[in-house]
Amino acid sequence: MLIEVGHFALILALVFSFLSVVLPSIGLYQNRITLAQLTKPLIWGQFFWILVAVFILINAFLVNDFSVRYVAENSNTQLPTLFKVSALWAAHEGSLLLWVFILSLWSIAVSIFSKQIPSAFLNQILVVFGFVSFGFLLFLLLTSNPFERLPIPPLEGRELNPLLQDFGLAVHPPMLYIGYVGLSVPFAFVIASLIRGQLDSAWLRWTRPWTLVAWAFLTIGIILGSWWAYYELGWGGWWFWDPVENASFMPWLVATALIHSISVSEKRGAFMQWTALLAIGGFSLSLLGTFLVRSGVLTSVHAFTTDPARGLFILIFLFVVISGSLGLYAWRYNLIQKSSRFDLFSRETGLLINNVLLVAAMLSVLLGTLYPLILDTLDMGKISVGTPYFNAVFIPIMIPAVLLLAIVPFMRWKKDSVSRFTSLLKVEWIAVLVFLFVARMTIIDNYYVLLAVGIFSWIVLHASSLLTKRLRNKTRMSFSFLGMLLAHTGIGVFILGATITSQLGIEKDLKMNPGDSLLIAGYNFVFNGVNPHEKDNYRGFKGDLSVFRDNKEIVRLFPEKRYYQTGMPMTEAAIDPSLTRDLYVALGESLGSGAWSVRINYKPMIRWVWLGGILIALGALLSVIDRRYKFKVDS
Amino acid sequence: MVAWQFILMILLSGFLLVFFLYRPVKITAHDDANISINQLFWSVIIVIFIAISSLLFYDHLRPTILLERSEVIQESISLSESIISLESYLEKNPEDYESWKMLGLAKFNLGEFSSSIESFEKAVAINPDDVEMLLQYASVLVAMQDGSFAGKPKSIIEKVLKIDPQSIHALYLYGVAATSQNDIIAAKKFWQKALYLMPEKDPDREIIEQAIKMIAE
Repeated sequence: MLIEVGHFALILALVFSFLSVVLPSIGLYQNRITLAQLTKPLIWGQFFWILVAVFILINAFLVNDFSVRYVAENSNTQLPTLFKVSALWAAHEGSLLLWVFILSLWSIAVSIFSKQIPSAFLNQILVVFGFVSFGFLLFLLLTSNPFERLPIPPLEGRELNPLLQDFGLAVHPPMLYIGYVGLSVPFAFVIASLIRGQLDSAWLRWTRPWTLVAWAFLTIGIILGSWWAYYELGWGGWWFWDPVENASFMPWLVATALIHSISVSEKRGAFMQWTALLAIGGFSLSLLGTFLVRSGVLTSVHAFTTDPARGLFILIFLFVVISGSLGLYAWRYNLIQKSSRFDLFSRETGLLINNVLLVAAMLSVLLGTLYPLILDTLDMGKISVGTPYFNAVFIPIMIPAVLLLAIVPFMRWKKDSVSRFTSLLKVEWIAVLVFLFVARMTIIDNYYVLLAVGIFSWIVLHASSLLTKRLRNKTRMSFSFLGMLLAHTGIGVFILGATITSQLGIEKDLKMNPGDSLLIAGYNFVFNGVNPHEKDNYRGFKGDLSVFRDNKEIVRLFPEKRYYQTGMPMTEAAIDPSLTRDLYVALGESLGSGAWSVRINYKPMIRWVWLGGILIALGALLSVIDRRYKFKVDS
Repeated sequence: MVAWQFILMILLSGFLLVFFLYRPVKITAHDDANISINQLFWSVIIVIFIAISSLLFYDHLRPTILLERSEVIQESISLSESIISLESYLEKNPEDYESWKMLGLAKFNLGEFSSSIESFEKAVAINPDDVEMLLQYASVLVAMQDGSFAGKPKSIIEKVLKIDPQSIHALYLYGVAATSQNDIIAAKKFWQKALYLMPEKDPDREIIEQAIKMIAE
């Protein structure tokens, strides 16, 4: 009966979300404040019932209730407790439940931490949240009910996808979803502002910390996904330009543009229309990502037509949200505060160029992701758009963007002069050139690495210079300023790590007999053999390799080949990590007579890829605690 | 019949909103003038709306809880029709054992566990020794207890095994009940007996063999 209670709780959450749109809208339209102020209890009630549903489904996993189809298909009695909990979001139905749960968490957070803004405006924002929740709860209940019972419960459940039986992937989806769904806050704000015909810079400031938090979580989610792919998939790669990855990367690019655009809007009252469009675009891309991942079109466009209910629902919802938002935007365009004037050479122009470049980069990713799907849908053949396309199109767009990000903070608002600007930064520019020259002469002759070193030193030197100038002038340093420096440095760290590891990394696939050895980048890998190995939820083999440097054993690595109950083989790479390099070993297949295929990778500076991401996320979170966001809006 | 849990949930939801409807309104400098509302009218409207919409929507979705998607439309209509005709028939013929049994099964298929149990209890009162019906009754009780065999379901299965010690279905279910109480030895004993009694080509053999293999690991 508990399962039916969980199902009914979701239905009550749907009813609450419907009421949270209708009742406050009547109240706001007719000045009946009692009804308008029902938004908070309705949002809280909706959150409560979703929470009840989540707990009941987790409980079903913990007590092995295989009468529930979702539990039977994604868990079994042997699954460790951590993965029984994370199995909640292992497949479509539970992921959608997590989506609506996080959406309700965001709306609760907004209702708690927005006491300073006028109640009518806050109620309008919560109405928009109610609308989005209603759409997703309806989707969940009509097409993806996680509480569906089986006519004959099996004695034992199937297995959680072995790829997902990993800590990295247990925490990756919630982080990503917090980021994805967090973009609903600026969206809800802009839509509420457009409905009320009031979009000005004072209000926009309110959205920036929310957008920063969402952006930080989106960054953490993407990093976790990349880290997981690196150690779990056994290829040693950290980014594959896979459509699922792109689905999360596109909202990240637009959110990056959005936080910079909001910054200009709140400080200078400029780019208001642009900011509003980015807020709508960011959330629309989150919905597009959900459509791409959840409709089945990525597996095959035909999967969408064979089971169209889910894909069609999201597609219609996507259409309603995007067309409705853009229609509202067009209708209210004249009421949006117009930009104050700024010169061609000014910080506003720099930030605008950067924004345009970020959106162009997003469009290049969108094109690369959707083009094969469109061709396939029209029966014009199957093509694969992979790394060569993205390297050729995305990177050239991003190079000027990352060069600009270092120097724009030195530009003056409204109007600046080229002569003042060049004289201010000439020392930094000469230093970068000298640094590059020395690097070329003494260490590196790879031009891609030289370019990355140049960009890294360009960003870090400018950030240091900005910090030094503030310290010298004894100007107050806000958390927002320090956050910006940290995030920009993170971009530099990421670029250096990504380029060096892809250009200077070494990969060897070889057959090894016990006692065989291989010398890579000064490290001698000696293969000691393979032993059987088993745990509760899998059986397999564990390899044993000793790594020597200067004839001294520095580490022993134990790569694994696991076979889960479904028989699916999984590669568990063994990694010796450090900031300067990773030694990465993956076990392949048994080749008979004690010989095994082994993949050995030397990955210089790969940790910098994720270190850069962590710095970006920390920078965003540091900016959030800036005191200027603890503001009180004047009427 | 609506489960008491659902009624409690609806009442809790209604109480929350009515409480806030009657709470004094906070008017700030940013708000326009407030037009007061009739709280009683809105309270009644909201509570009725929550009750009717949630129950109707649950009723609309319910057949998909137990039936395969492809069967939903066809089966939900035929089941509902069968139930209505069975209920009216049983009003006139309350001693018809087979009809009570059928009603219990139909209600179980619609997820109406409480009324399914009531129907089975009526059937048990008329004929307490029907092995097949007793096992169905036990299955409904297990579903009602969220998969737990403790208490009445286990005692019903024990009763079935006294009536028919060679009931394969009962032996299998007793094994499941034993595993849920971590009694691996008993589970293995009952499943092995079920296997011994089953025809060689019975398709269910594999399920029991796998179950034995699993507990052996």
